[in-house]
Amino acid sequence: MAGVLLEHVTREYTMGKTVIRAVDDISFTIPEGKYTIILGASGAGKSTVLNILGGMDSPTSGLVSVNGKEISRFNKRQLTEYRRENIGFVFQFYNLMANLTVLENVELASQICKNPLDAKEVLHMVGLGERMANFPAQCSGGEQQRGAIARALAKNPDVLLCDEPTGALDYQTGKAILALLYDLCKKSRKTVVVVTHNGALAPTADVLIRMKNGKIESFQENPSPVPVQELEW
Amino acid sequence: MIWRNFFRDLRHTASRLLSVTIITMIAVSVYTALSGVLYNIDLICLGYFDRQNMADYWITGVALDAGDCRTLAALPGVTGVQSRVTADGEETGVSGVTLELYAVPQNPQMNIPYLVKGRLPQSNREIALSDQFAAARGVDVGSWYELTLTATGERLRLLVCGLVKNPECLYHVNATTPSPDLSRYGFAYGGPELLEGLMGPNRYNQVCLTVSEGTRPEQLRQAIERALGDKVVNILALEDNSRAYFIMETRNNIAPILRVFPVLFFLCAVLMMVSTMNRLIESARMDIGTFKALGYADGAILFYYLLHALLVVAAGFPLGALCGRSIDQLLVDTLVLGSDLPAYEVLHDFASWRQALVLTAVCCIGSAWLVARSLLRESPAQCMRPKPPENAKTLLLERVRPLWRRLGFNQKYIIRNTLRNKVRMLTCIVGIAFCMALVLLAFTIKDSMDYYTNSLSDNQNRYDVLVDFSTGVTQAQYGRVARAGEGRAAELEMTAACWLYSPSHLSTAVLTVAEDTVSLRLFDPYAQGSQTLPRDGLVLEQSLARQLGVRAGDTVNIRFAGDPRFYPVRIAQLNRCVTGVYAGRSFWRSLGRPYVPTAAYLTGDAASLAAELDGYDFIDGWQTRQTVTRAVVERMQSMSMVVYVLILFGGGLACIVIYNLGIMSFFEQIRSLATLMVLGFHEQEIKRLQLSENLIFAGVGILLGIPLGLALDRLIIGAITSMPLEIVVTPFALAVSCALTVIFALAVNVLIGRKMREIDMLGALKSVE
Repeated sequence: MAGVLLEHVTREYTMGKTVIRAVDDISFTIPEGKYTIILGASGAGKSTVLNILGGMDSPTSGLVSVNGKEISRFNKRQLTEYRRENIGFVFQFYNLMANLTVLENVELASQICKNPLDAKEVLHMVGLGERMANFPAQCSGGEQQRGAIARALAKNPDVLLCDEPTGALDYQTGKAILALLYDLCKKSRKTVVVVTHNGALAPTADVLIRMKNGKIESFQENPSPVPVQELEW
Repeated sequence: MIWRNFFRDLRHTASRLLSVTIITMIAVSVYTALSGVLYNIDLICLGYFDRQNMADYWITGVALDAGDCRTLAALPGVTGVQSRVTADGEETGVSGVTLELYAVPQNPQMNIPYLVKGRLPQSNREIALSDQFAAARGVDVGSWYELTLTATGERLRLLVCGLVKNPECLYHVNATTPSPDLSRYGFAYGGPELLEGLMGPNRYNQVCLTVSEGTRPEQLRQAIERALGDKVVNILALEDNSRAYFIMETRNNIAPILRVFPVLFFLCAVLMMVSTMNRLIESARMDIGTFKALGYADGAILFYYLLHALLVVAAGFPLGALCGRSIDQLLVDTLVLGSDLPAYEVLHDFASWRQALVLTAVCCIGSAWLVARSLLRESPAQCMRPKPPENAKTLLLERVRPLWRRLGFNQKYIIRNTLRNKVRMLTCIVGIAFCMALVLLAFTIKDSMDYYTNSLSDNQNRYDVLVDFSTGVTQAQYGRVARAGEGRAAELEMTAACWLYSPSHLSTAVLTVAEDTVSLRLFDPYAQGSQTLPRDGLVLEQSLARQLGVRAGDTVNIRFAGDPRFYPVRIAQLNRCVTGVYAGRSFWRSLGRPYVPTAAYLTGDAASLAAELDGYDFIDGWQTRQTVTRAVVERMQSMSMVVYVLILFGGGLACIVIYNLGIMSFFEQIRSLATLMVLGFHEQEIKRLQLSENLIFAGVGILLGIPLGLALDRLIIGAITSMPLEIVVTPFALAVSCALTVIFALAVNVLIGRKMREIDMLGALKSVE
């Protein structure tokens, strides 16, 4: 099926003799093209879920399927291929290559994909048309995060995963970035999953998943989400 | 708690600390080992000379007497005089077993024989025999030994009262035994009257002198000559007495190598230590900020980080020193191999240990202190903020648009990454260049030595048999030797001791009179074909010319033993390969001097020549070319051991340096690598990007290392003055040095490639730094 499906997913980490269960038997479905927010306090397991969805980690047990691909069975090479072709990732700290210009950072991602978008067009789309020749050090935090989003988008991924994308940004810039992500989701009909601990963002989601202690606390579908611009927190 | 944090910290920095510890260890090993070689050789040799009160000069003369000794004792600088008679003998009834006899006072005060067993002679019927010779001849204390004096044919039957070692003869060679053969050549000490029949009562043919430090050789020689006049045949200084000074000569030959290499190793190690400690502490800047913010005193934080460096010194230094001690033992044993020394012990050279410790501590702790100090000056807030990235600038290459456009994305990425981080680039390149230079240097020195050895055995000496004539051989006799057996060619040679006088200096030297054109034994080992000696003058050894302060074209006065006349002669050529002075037969005759050959070089079948030569009583002995050159080859081999050790350590250091640089570069870029992994780059693609950078550094380092190695080679070969080494750079040495460096770089790439698998994508991306 299209979209994201998790069934009885558990993720345990063994640290010495201690076993930590970061994700504890969770199941949910996110339909294709939905703007989803995973909300929870620190240690709730939301980033672990995001990492599993992004192919950066594998569940200890359970089934994970993204657009019909059962990624929980993938080996290392298949996971790399999956990240390359199907996933766009946006980090809290941007992680742009310091030695590449913004445009080159986007090209870094697009050059390895089968169906990439045009790097310059994507940069125009995220509002960085004038800054594409700059190096990350010459851009503001918001511009760097836009660059990171452009890099994720240029791969033309099925799913865009964002881990605390506004965590390092000020209020106004953070708002602008979230609005951008929302618009992209709606315009390109891509599934966007945003992980955050900021509960004020909950009304903006099509799908809201609340997590606590590695479990799903609640799963809500919101038929009329509030635009980010209208939100104050 | 801070110390618990310290130990946990160590786990993260273990690989970097370990590599810098190994580098420290290698530098300390090489430094202490090579310094220890000089220290121990000096201790063994000079200590032995001191204990036996070794003479500084040997004056060989005619009918010297007690009055001459008193005269010599009164000369300025002379601290001791001892007269003696020396003579050659042969074991009675056994051909080719020769002995050197010394008739010395009953309690000799100079050149005191080292007693191994028994006692020194107390009567004229007793002798003390060299211990190894005695063992080889099956003679022991209490045995009777019969010998015949070569000069008079007198037979002596003597009681062996002791077994001794001769400090004047550490290397048992003479004209007929060029390579030590203890069963064929030895020496014996007898009482003062043992050789009275040879010289007459109270007459001597040799006086040994000790002189005070600072006595100028030239002035002493002139004073001796003035005092004894024509009685002097030869004055031999300890430094020129190759049998006694053999080990010291070898030591002096390799001294430049032993001095330069440790410095190079240390420089390389210093570079690595400084850059590693810098990066280690720089990467801990946020921790330093946190400590400061928590209220820890600057001193405590400084100590915390200095402890990392202290650990490197604490682990690297003792390991290096112990390893150096073993290498020291190996090298000293190899260098004294074949010499007749009393039992010796290789001691720790604590002075070099102290120097190495201070150097290591200064480099390691000093660099850590500097970096930590500069960080501590910043406020806690400044420290806790990640270091702002440098302003990115467009590379010069990018401005060449047509070229830049043609480059692929990966190439651009690699070039940018390589050129933007200039400190890393420079450290890597300089480190690899240093290592390449060290390996190349060791190989080229080895090649130069091999080339010299091969030139001696294959090029310089082209005869089959060398014949040594007895003193005063007649024309008819040497004519018979020249026509001996199936000999196809023969060349004669004469050697004589002489004095050379320049306007300001005086020197003694051996003058060799060869045929006008020599082809069986060239005076320059590197010459091609035959060599023609000048008809209008002498060929002078370059270092001797320097000593005399003369140049080609100048005139020097030459004088011979027993001849008061001075012969003004022109220096036609200078040559760094000849020993002493060379003259052609025609030029010699033009001086009006008698020509009495002392040796002949023959070609032909050695076996058939042997049959005939053994029948002549006017020859002292003969040897094949192989026997003559074997001695040189053996000596060179002992020196080669030093070079092998250096090659091994140079290679080891290169490997660790490249690893260290690679691993540091890896840690610096771990965040970028993790990002590439998340973006979906395959492991091989990431390796290509990351590792091609290392290979570029290796390539540039190798290219720069070649001229650096060659320059160092030139410096060291130039410093070895006692051996006419040529700078030899073979394509093989170049190829092997390059290949070794590349192999090290590739091996390190494989190791780092494995490390890439351990990258925790999530961890690397979560943290800010």
